[in-house]
Amino acid sequence: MKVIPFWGCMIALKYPQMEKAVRYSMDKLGVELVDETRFSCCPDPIYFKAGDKLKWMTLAARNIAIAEEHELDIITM
Amino acid sequence: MKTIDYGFREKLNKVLGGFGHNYCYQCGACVADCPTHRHLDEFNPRTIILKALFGFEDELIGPDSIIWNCTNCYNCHERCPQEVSPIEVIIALKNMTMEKSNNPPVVNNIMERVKKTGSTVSVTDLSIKRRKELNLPPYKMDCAEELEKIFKH
Repeated sequence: MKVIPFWGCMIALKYPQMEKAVRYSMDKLGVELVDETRFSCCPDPIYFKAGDKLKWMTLAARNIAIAEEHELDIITM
Repeated sequence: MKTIDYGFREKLNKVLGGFGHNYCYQCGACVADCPTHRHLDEFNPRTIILKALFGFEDELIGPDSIIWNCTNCYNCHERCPQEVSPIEVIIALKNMTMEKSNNPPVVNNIMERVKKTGSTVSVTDLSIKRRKELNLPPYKMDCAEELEKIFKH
């Protein structure tokens, strides 16, 4: 089984120990993680959304569209 | 005497999530579960929607507006029997505030950072070091070009 992990910037930069734990347990479960570097941040649901909700949705849609290109499920932490 | 400003309401209707305010029948279900209201009497989702219905533009989207105290918890969204979703109306009002530059500067800072780097959290020496210590692949976001296109519109 293959999935695309969406780490975002919070897990990757502030809580890398959580990324480590997910990678470790997914490996044990036999799930392959296909890393994608084109993702942007989710983006931030408080301030960015307060600034421009339409752009906020567009960036989120862009991330989902990238995952769709691979025809794999996306998982978020 | 103040009269209802329908012009403002029409503007709010066109902003994403703003239309819901028309359905509000002022039951106050949103107030009971609002964590900000618990600590700040002046912040009341019901009266915010009422002010939107009256069209009190200056109070809602003026400088230092009370709407910026919202915690984005979405409790009002879950409670609302009319599907007004006060939080979405508040976000629509915040979006309107941006056009007049009455927003707190932190919003611009975060939007600029996303535009430049693609992420909300900045990359620091410490975060790079911690990723290295955990044997994680280097942090990368190759989205600058595409984001630039999205931000142009």
